[in-house]
Amino acid sequence: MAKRYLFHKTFVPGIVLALLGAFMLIDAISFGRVISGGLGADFFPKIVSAAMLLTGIGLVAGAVSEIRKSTQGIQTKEAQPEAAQAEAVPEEAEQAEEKQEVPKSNWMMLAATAVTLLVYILILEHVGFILSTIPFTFALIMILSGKSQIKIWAVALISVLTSIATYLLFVNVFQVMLPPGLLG
Amino acid sequence: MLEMMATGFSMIFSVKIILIIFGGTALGILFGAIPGITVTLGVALFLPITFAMDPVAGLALLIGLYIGGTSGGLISAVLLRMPGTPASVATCFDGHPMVQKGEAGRAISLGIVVSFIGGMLSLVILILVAPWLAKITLQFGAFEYFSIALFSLTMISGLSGKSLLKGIASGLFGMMIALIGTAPISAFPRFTFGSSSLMDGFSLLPTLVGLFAVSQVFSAAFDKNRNLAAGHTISKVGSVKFKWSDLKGQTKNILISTGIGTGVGILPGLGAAVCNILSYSAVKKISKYPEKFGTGIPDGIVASETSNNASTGGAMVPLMTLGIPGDNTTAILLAGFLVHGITPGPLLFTNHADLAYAVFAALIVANIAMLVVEFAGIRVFTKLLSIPRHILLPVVMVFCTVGAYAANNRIFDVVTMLIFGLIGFAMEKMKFPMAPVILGFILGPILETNLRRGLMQSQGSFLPFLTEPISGAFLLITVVVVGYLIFGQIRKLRRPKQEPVQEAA
Repeated sequence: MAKRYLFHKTFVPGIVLALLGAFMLIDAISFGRVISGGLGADFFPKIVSAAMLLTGIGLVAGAVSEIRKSTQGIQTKEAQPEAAQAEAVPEEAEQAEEKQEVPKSNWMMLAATAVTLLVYILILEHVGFILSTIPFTFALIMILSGKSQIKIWAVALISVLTSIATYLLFVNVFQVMLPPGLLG
Repeated sequence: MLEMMATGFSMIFSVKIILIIFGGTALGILFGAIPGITVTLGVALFLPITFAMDPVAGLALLIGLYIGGTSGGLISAVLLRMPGTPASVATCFDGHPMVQKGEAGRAISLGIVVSFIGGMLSLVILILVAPWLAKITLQFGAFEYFSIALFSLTMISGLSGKSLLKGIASGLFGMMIALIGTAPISAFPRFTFGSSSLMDGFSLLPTLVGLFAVSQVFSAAFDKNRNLAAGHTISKVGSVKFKWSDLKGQTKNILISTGIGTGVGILPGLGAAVCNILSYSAVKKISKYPEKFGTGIPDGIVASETSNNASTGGAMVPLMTLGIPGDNTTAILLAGFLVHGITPGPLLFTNHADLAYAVFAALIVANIAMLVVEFAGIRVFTKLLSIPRHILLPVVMVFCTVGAYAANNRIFDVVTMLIFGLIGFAMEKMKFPMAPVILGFILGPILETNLRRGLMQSQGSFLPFLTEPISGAFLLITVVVVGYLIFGQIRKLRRPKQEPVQEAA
């Protein structure tokens, strides 16, 4: 039962957004009146965060009613005549597809991508653009290529060429500064 | 006015700038053609490059990207059955059936020609209307700016997806992000958690790049159907010679589509993504053979492609006369103006009239460039489209990192990009529309500044917002449209409940 709530597309986001609105509202109230007469820096944040809180609550309410309807739908499925059942099927199929268990490997791929990017960010300024972009590009292509067979030397070549070409293009042609790092 | 146009043309008629326009347009077409990379992203990525250029050259590049990108989506819409950008969604409806009939070349060549026609016609309207409108908007004050900004934010939130609440949530989220940093007028630090990096708030570019591009990379990594290496199945193009006879009988469709495209473009907040579908429905409704739509008739392509390019001229109107972006992409163009110290708005035509007309001239050349490049380069684009995503996306990521870093030369911006990449990924998975976030981010400060200025002028009274004619009109339209949207949502929710009631009876 709890899984239904957790995986519903709107329930958790609704709660998150409502909480976000609530926290911002509380924070904004602490600003107090900054300008005498007219509005202070607190007014607009209060309105926006209050609106967000209400919207979040609205989303949660909508999600709860949807989940309740689908639970009822399953319970009364046998009672309904065939015509109504036929209409309910595409809706349920869509919901079923949404709730399909996502294989762990996808979350791991996502985490791998995020970590790769994070590491890239951390070393970028210290090691320099070219030296950090080469392994970054390589890693990313390998992660995204998944089950397909690709030649590692080709990927390595693409990584090196892309990094160097991008650096030269942006620094020399477009006059954009990039961290030179260890290559000086 | 003809004198001004001549001045404008003279400002861009150098080999360097013409080349920049052609190059920018070609790149724009490429970005528009690749699904997953939108024209907004393309313009945003090249924004830092324009820092070092002089204003005319920088704006010319961005304009080329804009025009090319809006049009480029048709290539993938026809050949890949996937719209390259949201502006070409409706092109798939008749484009793909035409491919199945073996008429891919015909679909593409027709799309290119009507894109050109729509773009040029809307430019004529822009050039005629903008200077005149600027005289009117010169008198706009805080009340009007507030109401128009509110109108456009409501429009984009309400029309971005199936759920009104989610659209509003996205818009509010954008506004909340913009609140982080130093408050306008009073310079009070808000939500900065004591961090000096956050004193200026989040930068627009890394946020945008994260939300739209990095999220795509995360999606690709997460995708259940990990078929990325297989690339796309691209249909063969065949002959791309344009048949003039295809235009026969399309005059009405072209005019209606141009009207819808330009009109929607002029409305601040709405742009190409909305008008191509609107135009398709409208043309189908008035057609003598509505049942043929979707089977592969020229009318469908004409409706969609004419209007999306017509929206470019229209979207430039509020940008240049008000300084309020017509859609997400013109929001980046706004940044492009500001980077060079030029504030678009009514004063643009008073203080920098020559630049305004140079922009007009650049738009004209960009449309011509689009026509030429698309016809000449269609085979090249087809080849480029077949680069598999698992190679393309990492390369795009590298460009994105450069773009994010180059804005302010600080790593914090790249961190911003990562954070918003994750947020964008989450939003897409949970079906929250992303377009309202950017406009919320940009319009939020405009809303706040003008709300406070207006209230200071009126001594704290909200009345002038309603009684000032133009301000009141926009607020009224906003309320009416919101009411209509809410009504529609309630109706949708009520329908399934009716059946169990009937069962019980």
